[in-house]
Amino acid sequence: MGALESGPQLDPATVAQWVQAARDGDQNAWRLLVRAYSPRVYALAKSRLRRSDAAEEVTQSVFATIAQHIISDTYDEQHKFEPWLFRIAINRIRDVIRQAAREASPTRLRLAAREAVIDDTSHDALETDADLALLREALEQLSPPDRELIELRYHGSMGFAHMASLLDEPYGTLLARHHRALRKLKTIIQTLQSEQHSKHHMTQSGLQHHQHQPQHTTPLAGENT
Amino acid sequence: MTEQPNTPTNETLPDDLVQLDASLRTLALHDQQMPSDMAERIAQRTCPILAGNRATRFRSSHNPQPYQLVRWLMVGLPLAAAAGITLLVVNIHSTTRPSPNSSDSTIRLAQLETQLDAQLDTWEDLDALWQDDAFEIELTTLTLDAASLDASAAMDADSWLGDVPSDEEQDS
Repeated sequence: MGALESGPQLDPATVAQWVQAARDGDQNAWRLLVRAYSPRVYALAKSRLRRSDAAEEVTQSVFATIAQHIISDTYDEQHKFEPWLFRIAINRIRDVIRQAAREASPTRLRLAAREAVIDDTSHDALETDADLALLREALEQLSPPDRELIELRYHGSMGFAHMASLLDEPYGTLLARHHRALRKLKTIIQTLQSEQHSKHHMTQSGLQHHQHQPQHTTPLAGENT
Repeated sequence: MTEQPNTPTNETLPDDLVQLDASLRTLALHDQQMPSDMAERIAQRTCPILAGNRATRFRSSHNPQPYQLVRWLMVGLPLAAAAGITLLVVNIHSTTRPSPNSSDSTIRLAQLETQLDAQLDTWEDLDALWQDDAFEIELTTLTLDAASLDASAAMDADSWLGDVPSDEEQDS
């Protein structure tokens, strides 16, 4: 049995100090806040949107919204900065996906998907583990709620308490959902692996058939001649 | 059961999911690797929002004293100028027109006050007299006496002039 550990959580008191200092115009505190949380927001957006530029745009938009809320004194969620931040991030990512689906024609969707694959391939060149690509493909096939849960947990590095606050669900329900989502993901991965294995087998068979065919045809050709 | 945000939870994953959990963590770490300058770029782009707030706060919280000072000066200066002009006019008036001797004025005022008090006392006495019924009766008696005296005086005069002929009788 493996322990479910929380992500790189920050001390809420420290975060509250940064927020207060940023509200008072301390740019260094704001930089600390952005550096601490932007990789997690970026990863969440990148996993869903599959494009680096779109992920950066979403991340910047999220922090712009955070800054506006902080200065307008409407932020009053004591020690709940993280769920608040990721709620904004999730809503922004949903908006981007919704807008893209509304504006894009089927042709543009295919082009966008192709661009995303190209963009992702540039990163995949850095990946040494080919299983990550399979994992991405499996995540794509999860239902949106399950995928959101998994991405918040891993890409957002959120603890279950914060996730329960963000998704407004009981802690136990969230744990059960997480286990179910992981099992679904595992099933999808196994299916994909078996499909890949079948394809590989068929390819190998085809190659062998192709390699053997001239030997058969040549004699046939030779017989014909 | 509640999970503290910064402490690992006691919840555990089934063994068959541990490998998947590790793979997902690897994928997430890979995706969290932003370009090195991206965080700084985002911070720089969003800093002006906070700076704008700082300027607004500075205007609203740190400037009230100078602002109020200017406002008070705008109101106070004309008032001070008006008061100064008034004092100047009064001063000039007092220097160009010699004022009466203060001691004489005081004595005169005291005399006038005394006279006024005396008149008021007189009027009050008269009023008190009129309020008194005996005074009214006495006044009526005096009036009647005066009238009877007048009538008797006229009769005495007629009787004293009784033998004197009239003008018509003298003409005839």
